[in-house]
Amino acid sequence: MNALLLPIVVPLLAGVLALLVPPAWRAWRAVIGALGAVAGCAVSWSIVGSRAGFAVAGFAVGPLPLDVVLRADGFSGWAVGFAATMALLCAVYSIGWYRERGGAPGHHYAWMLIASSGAATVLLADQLLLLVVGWEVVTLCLFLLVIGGRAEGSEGAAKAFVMLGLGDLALLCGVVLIALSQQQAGVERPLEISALRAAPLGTSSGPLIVAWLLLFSAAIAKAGAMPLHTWIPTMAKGSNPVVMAFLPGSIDKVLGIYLLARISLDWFETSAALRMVVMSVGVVTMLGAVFMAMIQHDLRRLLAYHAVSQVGYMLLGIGTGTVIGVIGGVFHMLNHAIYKACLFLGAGSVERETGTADLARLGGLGRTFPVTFACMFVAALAISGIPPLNGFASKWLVYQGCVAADQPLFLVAAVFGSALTLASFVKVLHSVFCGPRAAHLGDARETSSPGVLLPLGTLAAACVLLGVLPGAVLDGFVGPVVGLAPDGAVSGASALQGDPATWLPVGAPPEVIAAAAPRFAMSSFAPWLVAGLLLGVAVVAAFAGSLGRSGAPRVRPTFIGGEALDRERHRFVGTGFYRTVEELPVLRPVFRRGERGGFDPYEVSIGFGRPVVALLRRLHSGVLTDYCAWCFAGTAVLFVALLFGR
Amino acid sequence: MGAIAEWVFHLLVFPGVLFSVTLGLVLVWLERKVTALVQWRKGPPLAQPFWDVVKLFGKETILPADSVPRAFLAMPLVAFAGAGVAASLVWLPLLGLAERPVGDLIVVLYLLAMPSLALILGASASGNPLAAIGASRDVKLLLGYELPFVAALLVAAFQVRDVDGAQVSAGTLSLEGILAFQQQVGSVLARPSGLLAFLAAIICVQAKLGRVPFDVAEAETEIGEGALLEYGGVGLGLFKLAHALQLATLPALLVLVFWGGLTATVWGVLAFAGKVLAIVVVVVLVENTNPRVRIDQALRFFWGPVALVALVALLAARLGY
Repeated sequence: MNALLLPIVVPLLAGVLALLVPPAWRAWRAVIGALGAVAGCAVSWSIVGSRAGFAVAGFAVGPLPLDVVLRADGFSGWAVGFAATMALLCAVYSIGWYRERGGAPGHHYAWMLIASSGAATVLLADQLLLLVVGWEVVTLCLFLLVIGGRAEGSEGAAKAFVMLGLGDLALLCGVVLIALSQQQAGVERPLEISALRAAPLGTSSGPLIVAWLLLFSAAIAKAGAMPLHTWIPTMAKGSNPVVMAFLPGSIDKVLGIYLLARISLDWFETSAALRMVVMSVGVVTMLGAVFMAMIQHDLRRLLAYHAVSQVGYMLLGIGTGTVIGVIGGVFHMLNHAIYKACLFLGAGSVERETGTADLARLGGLGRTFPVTFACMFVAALAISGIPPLNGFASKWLVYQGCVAADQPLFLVAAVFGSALTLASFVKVLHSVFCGPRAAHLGDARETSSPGVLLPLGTLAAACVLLGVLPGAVLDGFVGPVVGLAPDGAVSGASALQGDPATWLPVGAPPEVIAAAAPRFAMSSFAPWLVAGLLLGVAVVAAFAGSLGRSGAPRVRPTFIGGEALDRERHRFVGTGFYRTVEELPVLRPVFRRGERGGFDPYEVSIGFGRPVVALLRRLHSGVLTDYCAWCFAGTAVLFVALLFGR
Repeated sequence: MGAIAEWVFHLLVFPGVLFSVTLGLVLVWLERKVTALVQWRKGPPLAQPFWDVVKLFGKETILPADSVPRAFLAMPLVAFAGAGVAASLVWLPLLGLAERPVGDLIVVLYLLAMPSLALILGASASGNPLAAIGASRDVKLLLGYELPFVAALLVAAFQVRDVDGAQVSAGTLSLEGILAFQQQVGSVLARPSGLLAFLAAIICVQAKLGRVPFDVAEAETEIGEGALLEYGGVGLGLFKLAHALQLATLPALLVLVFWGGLTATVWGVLAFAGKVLAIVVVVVLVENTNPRVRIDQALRFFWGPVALVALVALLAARLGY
């Protein structure tokens, strides 16, 4: 079997096998899930670096061909491997999380594997209709995963399905528009992506702009950018943290950003105006969502808003249309999946033992959840872009992209958004892990299950590693996305020198881009050096500190002005951290409206839909004679139309 | 090997930690002396801030009962490391000592925020409710000043264009680039956008240093040193040192970014010292003549007029003014 088929077929077969396991042998579902994920991961990484193609003639859907045409390139190759790795980590975590609780509900592992297969289809497809099919499969699996989890998940599942379904429809319409314009132009193999890349479509004519915008809305609905993000926070309320980490946290980001990068770099010659649209949506998303995150009281919902906000950086980076900005945007997608999965899984570990995700009811867990605390601490600093962690490395590239694109206001917004993210995570760390411990938490302590702790630790370690040594990933994986050849580059960040003049706009001739390859990334920053310096100074300071009086620190009661500390009453819970911000004159009405769903296209359209539904309801009187009258009237209209229509 | 030894020297001795700490403690003395003069007192001797730190380092470490010990003990180190590396990264380009650039404006901005962040997280990890109030105020203050501060510093980055008549780039975030530009074309401060940005940045530095009127996070009379409440001994000493490092770094950064940097002549060095002292004295005088504001007032002030001025300056810089 062709190597390109394996990342699609192996998880699919394992998923179907898991579906066939009868409920009595539930434990086998987890085994199949884990083994399928391991196998999927192995076959996915085996195609990295491959430039192979594969084609089997399929059948025609009306005038459009649906062939199985696959191709790996410098982007899809590693994206498949990355998606499969996230699936593996989430599968392992699921086993640990559901241990001692009767195993995962329903066909959890099966849908995860099939979603992973769908994601591989999207990433490897060399044919637009095939891509649409994979895209659909992932949406469907998301719905099934959420609906199979908790009873309270159904509202979020329905909303996610409706919004993502509309996104999928937009994708399909965009593809059909592309096909029509290609047929007019007499293109030989319409809808084949390789052909599309060889001769990108212009964005000057009306239909093609509409097609671009349709594909763009599909991408941002999947990735979760404003205004099509609202399914993520709603879904977060009722679904399992591992599902959040797996789909909206990582796979959906990979797919959405993959599509966005493809349409704005490869398939279309994106105009400056459309790039401005991407950047503006990005900035609105990053600021709007992070403000909403700051005022949340539920840990899962708060993380969901951050999963939206971070998409803004990816859009901003890709929208700048400069080599360094696009690299930053794509690298940020990778980093985001890592730290956000770590945060969701960490939140899951806390929720598993305490039974709540309400920030006001948590607190003081730092001592009994040491591993979770350490991992979430690292991931929280990474998402806030604190050097030398991975979030900083990719944000730094996005900032440089803003400078290269001459967009000072967007740059300020991006840095400010990062400060707001930090503020929001200070609140999380404080409310969950610090402060006096609430009595109702009892002696809740971290599970010792490696299934839970191992994925957490792996992800946190990746946050540090990618932050300190981003050079290898940038040269090998992210560089090829914009056509930088890894062999042309001196590997590693240390050798990269550069000046802003070489941060070319995307679309520069290949030989010019290749000449700039050794210079592109991390030129004037040297993250490993900054990390080393930080560590060095801290060690020296620790040494200096230990010169004085030695011995273990003495433990004394908390001092609150000489009063006795009442752990229930004298708490300053994190949910009160930003009340001042909430009450600011301009922001207050916006927050109120946002919390009521006033900016949610789903809720707003429901509001508009209500009169229509009321009218239909009135027509549905249930009286037979009324229905007969309607039928008669309809027949009469048809009759008249047929009689005089021609 | 030689390169590494050189780096260690630059980082730990000159112009990094040791030099900056010494300079910072001298500036702390200057601050206390000027304050004393304003209040018609004599003030401490020059060595006083040094002895204060030495004494703190000899005290035992006390752990509050409700704290998360590791985080509580590690945060002073993070604060000191962030401030120390930031100091080196600002001084190296100023003195022209680095062979290859390390860090740029963005890296320095983030490193300069690390002491505040470490203090916030350390206060939170102490488990003390009063410290938590201090931490909450400190985050909000950080949010407040960070917006205008970033916008103001970026004015310099976006003024850098049209060197020698040809558009080399759309601006640069490299500190070396900003310095070179000023040496060729004249200081950023000389243009209207630069002046506006400089004024906004000085106000932000006042808050970044946690000085009155923006000392809401410590507010001794309300919440008893707030965020620092549970720290003593080495931890407190390291926070004080990080603070001294910031006092040495921020004025130097302002001079680097807005006021022409440092030229290697006697007059150049004297002018540079004069500029740094002028900024510090302005900060101290404002500190001594103002009452403390509430946190909501501080937020409104920074997100309102100060941010407006900084953003207008940034737009003006983008348009070439």
